[in-house]
Amino acid sequence: MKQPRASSMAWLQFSRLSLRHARKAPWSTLALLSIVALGVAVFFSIRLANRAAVQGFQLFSTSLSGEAEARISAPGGSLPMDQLPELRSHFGSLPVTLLPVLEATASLPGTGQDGDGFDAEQVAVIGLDLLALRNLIYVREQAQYEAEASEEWARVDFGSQTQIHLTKALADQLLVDTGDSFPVILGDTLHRLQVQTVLHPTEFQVGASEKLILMDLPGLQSVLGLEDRVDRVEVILPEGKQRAALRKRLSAALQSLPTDRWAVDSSGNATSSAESMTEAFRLNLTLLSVLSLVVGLYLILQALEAAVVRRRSEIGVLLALGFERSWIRRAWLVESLVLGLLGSSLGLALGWLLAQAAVQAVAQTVNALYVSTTAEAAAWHSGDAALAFAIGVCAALLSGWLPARDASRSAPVQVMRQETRGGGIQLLDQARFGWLCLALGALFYPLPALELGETLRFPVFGYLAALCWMIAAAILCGHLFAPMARALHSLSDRSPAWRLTLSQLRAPTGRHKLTVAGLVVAVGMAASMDILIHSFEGSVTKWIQHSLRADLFIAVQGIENASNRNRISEETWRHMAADPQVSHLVVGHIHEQAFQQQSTFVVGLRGTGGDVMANFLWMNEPPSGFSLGDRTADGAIQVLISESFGNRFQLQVGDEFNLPSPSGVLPLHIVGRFADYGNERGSVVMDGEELSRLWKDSRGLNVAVTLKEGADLGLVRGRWMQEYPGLAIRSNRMLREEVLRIFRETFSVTHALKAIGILVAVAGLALALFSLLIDRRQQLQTLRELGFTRKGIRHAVSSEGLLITMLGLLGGLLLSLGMGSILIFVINRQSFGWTLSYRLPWWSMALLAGGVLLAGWVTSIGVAQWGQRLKGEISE
Amino acid sequence: MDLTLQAQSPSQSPSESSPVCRVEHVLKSFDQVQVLRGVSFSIQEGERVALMGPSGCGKSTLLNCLSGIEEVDDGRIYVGQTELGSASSEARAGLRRSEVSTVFQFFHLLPTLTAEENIEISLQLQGGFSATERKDRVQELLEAVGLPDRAAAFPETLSGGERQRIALARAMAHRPRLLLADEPTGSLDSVSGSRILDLLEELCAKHRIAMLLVTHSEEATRICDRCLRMQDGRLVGEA
Repeated sequence: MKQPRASSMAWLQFSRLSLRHARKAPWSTLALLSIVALGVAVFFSIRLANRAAVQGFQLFSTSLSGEAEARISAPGGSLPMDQLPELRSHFGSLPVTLLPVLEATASLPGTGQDGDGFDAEQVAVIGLDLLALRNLIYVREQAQYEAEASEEWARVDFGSQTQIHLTKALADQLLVDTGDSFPVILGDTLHRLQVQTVLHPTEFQVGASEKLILMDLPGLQSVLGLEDRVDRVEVILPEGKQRAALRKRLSAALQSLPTDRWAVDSSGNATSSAESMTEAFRLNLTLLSVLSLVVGLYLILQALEAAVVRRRSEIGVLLALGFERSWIRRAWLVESLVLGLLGSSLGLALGWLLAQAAVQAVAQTVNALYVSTTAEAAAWHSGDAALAFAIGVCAALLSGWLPARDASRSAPVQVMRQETRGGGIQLLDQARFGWLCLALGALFYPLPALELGETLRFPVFGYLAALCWMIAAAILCGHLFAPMARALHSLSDRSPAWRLTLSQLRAPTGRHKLTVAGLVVAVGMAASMDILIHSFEGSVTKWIQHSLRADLFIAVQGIENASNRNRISEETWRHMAADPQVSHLVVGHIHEQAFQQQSTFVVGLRGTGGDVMANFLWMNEPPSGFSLGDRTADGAIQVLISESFGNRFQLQVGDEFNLPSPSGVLPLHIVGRFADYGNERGSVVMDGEELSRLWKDSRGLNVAVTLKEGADLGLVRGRWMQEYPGLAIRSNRMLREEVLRIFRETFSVTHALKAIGILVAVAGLALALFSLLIDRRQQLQTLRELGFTRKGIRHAVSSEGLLITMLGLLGGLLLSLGMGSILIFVINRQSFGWTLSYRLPWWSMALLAGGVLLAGWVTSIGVAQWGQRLKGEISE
Repeated sequence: MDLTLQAQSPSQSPSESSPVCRVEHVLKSFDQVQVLRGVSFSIQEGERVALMGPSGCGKSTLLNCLSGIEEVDDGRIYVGQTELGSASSEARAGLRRSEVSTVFQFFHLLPTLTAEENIEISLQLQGGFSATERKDRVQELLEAVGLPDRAAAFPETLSGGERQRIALARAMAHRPRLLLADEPTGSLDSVSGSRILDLLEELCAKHRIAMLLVTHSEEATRICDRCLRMQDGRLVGEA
């Protein structure tokens, strides 16, 4: 007799049975599809949003000048104008165009959410040599610029220093057109700029919504008081047949530039530098999106398992008819595959839509923490789509594998009347594997971060330790069912419902263990995040109390954006210092500085009185008598470093290192280390006066003002707000509140993830209870025959659910103690370099426990309500 | 509390007592399929009645209606003085805890409970016993069914005959007035089946428990006082 082909039989089962089941239960089919789709969508959207944020940075840099061959800047920051003739001479007869660029930011007064201007919206301002730029149109091929744009460029005129050109997107936002004027804050001063040209987007891409102001270079330099310098010089080659040959010559010329004076960034480096700067951030987001897939995987696994249980009699019939077990397994895998294919396709579409919303949030964070990005929309990326699709399909197959195996092990219908107890993952029965994971976690715990490339240190062993402990807790908790049932044995005598419940837990099934594992992991992750946040908040509060002691804190409007380039002029802060109500003030001069190919900050503090050093929360206090500005015997500047700086660059107190500056390389000697939770890139602190001299910039980023005793803080603030409309002024209390608000907002995503985790675990509990009850429907019938009331059955089932929840909760809370320690002492320290003190958030953990118990109890009651009506076998 | 399974006088004949259950013109259908079509009969105290008929004729449905698990569409069923149609779900569950017991073809022991716990839960459901009283009663029942040494065994470790004896002990635990037996020997070999029938006869006679025994086996009718025959949802004869 001819043997039927396994694949055709699996297909028969899928098409004749599975599809019909799906059609008969459209809502549960849709729910399953949605779970896969949502997991894929979150992963895909976060990838697209990340990509758009970094892409936005690239567009910001290149869209006006076209694609430059290279960018030249000074290693210590800005480039003095008087170096330009010398720079040009290095290129000899090469027909390159050198385009000096000054970048600035303009804050839009009256925007922002906090009302006091610190988070005012900002737009990029680019100062260019417009004459050179207009000539570029004739140097480069016409195809580079579309006709309309070229005409606009040709019309660009130089006008006065307050006449500007702005993009269509910005003009639309500000509701201005050619000839109109609008207010902006440049430097620390309010200016009215007049629109000379509205620049239309040159092509349909993300940059179409870019908001930029273009000014003539001398005009912007004059407004900012930076007449003698630019940020960079762009090197542009003419188009034409000789371009390839010219590029070779240019490359040679660039290589011959003295590196101590000029730094060369080839085309594309800007993006990669933005990429490397945000790498850790993007990695964390990717990890979070993978987490959503894992969570989805758990739900799919539970849901498919429930489907196997529901259809066990059908499988039994197929086996009795002669189906081979491998055919059954294959058919279930086909079902998972189809689920994965359809769900992932749906997920890609949903992900693309989600990305459009997510890109705003991601760009906002990138703007606040790292670099300026103009991204407002995410473009489709086939590579990311393929990756998300593949991961979605694999996740569905992986989560379908266990139920498929379970299905193929079903008993033929002849023996199905005998009770079956099973389901779940066999691995969860292996206590020894649990202990092994626990030990492995302890081994990984003390290992240092892994160096991934030159700039990224990734706490891979911290994550591995967390993973090991999660697996260990998930496995070992399943083995606590029997001891728990024994401990509660006395309840058995109290009621038959308790006896029944405890008897179920005395010999738990794999499904019990899988459910408790889900709860342990969800509660463990949620509570450990609580521990991290609480410890963080405690440390930050302590730091604020030390660092924020002045009465008023002043910065230019929009300063909360990391790329804001506006500063408070020397004239302004000196004027403030001379105010009769002011006791003393501290000016913070801050410059972003490249050091060992990474971006960090150099800070100068200049006090007009008081003790500047009293504002630090010390990790290593400098020797008594030390004051900023001191030098070592051999002339090295004595500096303080933040903890993050020390960890990032592996430097400690007593070490010496060289830092590039506009005045040449500086030898520095570290004498103290302080905590700084406001900045993960690290900072070097030196005397403000010295920094102003070396960096040739006396402007301040912020000013902390201490008023004389008896001075009216409100009056001074009000007066200065009138006098300096370009400045944002906060009182001590307002600033502290704001810092904590930002801190809490930073973790709002975490709270959302926490809630999702708990919801999923509770949904897992519901699915598990459904499956258990369907498995036990004959037992339920027996219980009714024995005289159990519906209430009794409800009590038994809900108690079982509640005890599973309690065990999951207990295991999760224990896990969170260890995970919290990994987050605080390993992952946080290796990622951000911050030391936090371990604090348990009793209230928050109690609330979490209460919430989980309540959710578990309500879910159990709901399932029990359904279960009490579940019929046994149909009577003849 | 009297802990012994006291038997009423075996000399008292079934016909002299009032009926333990009375079925009057019962109709029952599932999805427009008429399963019971006007069934009427009664069973006296201590009387053992066999119910025979081909598969699908409605025997098990009738048993479920008698235990109050299923509700009838029309007609009346009395268990003692209680008319099941007018009794609430809770009241019917209460009857199953005190007046009516069922033994099944596939035993239906609760797999997570030991043999003694399976029996004890029935007493616990009835209520009114202390833990010690329950233990004593369980021990007595285990001895009565010949399995005093299997108290701590889980159902999966028991043979089919042993499982049915434990199921019988569980059914007898609260001394019901009516025992419904749904093919209790259907899953057993002939020797074990015969022992179960002997045990059923002995226990029912000893405690004057009325029994309705659904069976396909002519051999099983030997322990019954009379035999009802059913076909297509109707009683078609009595022997």
